[in-house]
Amino acid sequence: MALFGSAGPVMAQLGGDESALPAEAANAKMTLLPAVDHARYKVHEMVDGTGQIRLRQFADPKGKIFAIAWDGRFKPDLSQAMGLYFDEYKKALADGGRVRSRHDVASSDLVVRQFGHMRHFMGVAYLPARIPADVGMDEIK
Amino acid sequence: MMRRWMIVAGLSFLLAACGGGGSNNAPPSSLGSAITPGSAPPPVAANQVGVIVDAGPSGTSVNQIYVSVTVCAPNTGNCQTIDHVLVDTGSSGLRLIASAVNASLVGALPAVTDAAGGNPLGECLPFVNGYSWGPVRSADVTIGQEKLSGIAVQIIGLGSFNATPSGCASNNGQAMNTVASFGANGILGIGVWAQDCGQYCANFSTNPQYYACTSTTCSTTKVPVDSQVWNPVALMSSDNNGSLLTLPATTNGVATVLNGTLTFGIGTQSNNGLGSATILTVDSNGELSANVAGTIYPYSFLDSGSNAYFYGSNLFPLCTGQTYFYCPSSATSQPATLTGVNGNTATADFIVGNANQTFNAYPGIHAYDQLAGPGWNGTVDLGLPFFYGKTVATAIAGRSTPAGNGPWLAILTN
Repeated sequence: MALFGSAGPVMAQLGGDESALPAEAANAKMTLLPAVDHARYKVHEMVDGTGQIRLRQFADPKGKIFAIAWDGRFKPDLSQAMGLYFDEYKKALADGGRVRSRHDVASSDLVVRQFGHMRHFMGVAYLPARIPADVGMDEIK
Repeated sequence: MMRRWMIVAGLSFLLAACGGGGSNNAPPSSLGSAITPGSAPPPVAANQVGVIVDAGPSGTSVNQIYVSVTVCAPNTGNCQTIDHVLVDTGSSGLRLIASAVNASLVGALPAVTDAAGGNPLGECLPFVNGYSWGPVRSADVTIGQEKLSGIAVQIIGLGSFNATPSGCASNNGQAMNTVASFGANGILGIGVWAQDCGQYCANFSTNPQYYACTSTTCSTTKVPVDSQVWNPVALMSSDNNGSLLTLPATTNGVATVLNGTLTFGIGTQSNNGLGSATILTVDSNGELSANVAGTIYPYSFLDSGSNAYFYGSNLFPLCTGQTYFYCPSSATSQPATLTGVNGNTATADFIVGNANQTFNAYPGIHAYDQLAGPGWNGTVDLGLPFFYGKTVATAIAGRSTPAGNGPWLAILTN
């Protein structure tokens, strides 16, 4: 039985530093897999104990996280992964009024695209201004 | 389920002269054109219930399909018929919005408890843009003439626990616990799964869906499959291998009301045969592949709880004022093919119309064939417009049918 207490301190997040990822993974009770180096960026993937909730974080050459992507049975802890941007995300959802399922959240500094239905959720969130040059949007997934 | 509200009133901009030509079955844009009223409800057999596409609880629904269910405290006459419960082939399980149920009835519904500690179960149901939270209660439920005794039902938005678990909110963002947020008084999930979570929640105590709640806190917990919220069809004593959802076609793409039929069972009675329909098997996510206008969308699904076709990202101009719908300058045909996991294919052509133009021209409509909007690059969510003029069969995972075990889908023409 896992207790869900208050959210822990935000340690690594969108816009934050990859060096904090091991602590973030531990806090989320997820396993951080070895980073995959794509030259212009690194992909750090963490997976939960069931193997069915995955979160990928994209870090630029300076180690700053400019995008996240999720895919799995449930969403990961988006509050932790989005960090300071989570409130902006929630506000954008709420601003949709009675819109039931708005996939796109876009502002000048945050873009979220997501899809999902019972048993399968996928999405990406990124900071457009911080995407390294020459990284295509189709690489963020 | 997914739903986007259509703004049906208050649009003040004038339509630009629309480029003609190239459109098929596009509704004329002249104001005041006659709308064919919906036909009378068809008669129903013992394994059927009437369904309706209408204005919904708010009066502003578009492409939302509803059914009435009767809920009773187990073995009592304390009952209530709840109208405008959304018929959702994209989920499994019956959920009622607490505010739509009499307090005296909700109070008489026994808690479903976790096997280990005997604590009441709460459920966090994730959606794309948020979550619904509420307790799981036991109720006698009647759908049409099908009576189900003591089944688990989620009561969304009932403040019976101390607080929503923080994990529910931190994973999913905003709460969606009201009639307004669903455009319905509840959801009847009749999708391809027998339960809403299944073996995953039976195996893993970390599942972020089921919680055992004490007076002070709720903690994630394993829940045996038998204690989960079930697709009510799967619990019926017969005709329990799936269902057929039948809706009439619109006239000129629009309608104020559509009356249809939900038939329980597949190939079990004279009224639920498959004919020569092609079987499209789906994967464990309930998904199959769609090819729309030459683009492959591998994570596609049929969902009567979505009120439009949602796919791609910037395929057409977005509507002014409601950027969650497409507004092409003229209605555009989209040749489409669905491919099941078994390799079988079925034609699924549709048309994307100009939502603002149509709703300006027909302010009183609640069904619109050509409503589409942006979604996800790899997905076509074939919402309720796809179901118009068709019978769609949904076979439940693991259940036997004359066409093989579920999960699978089939599209029958009426």
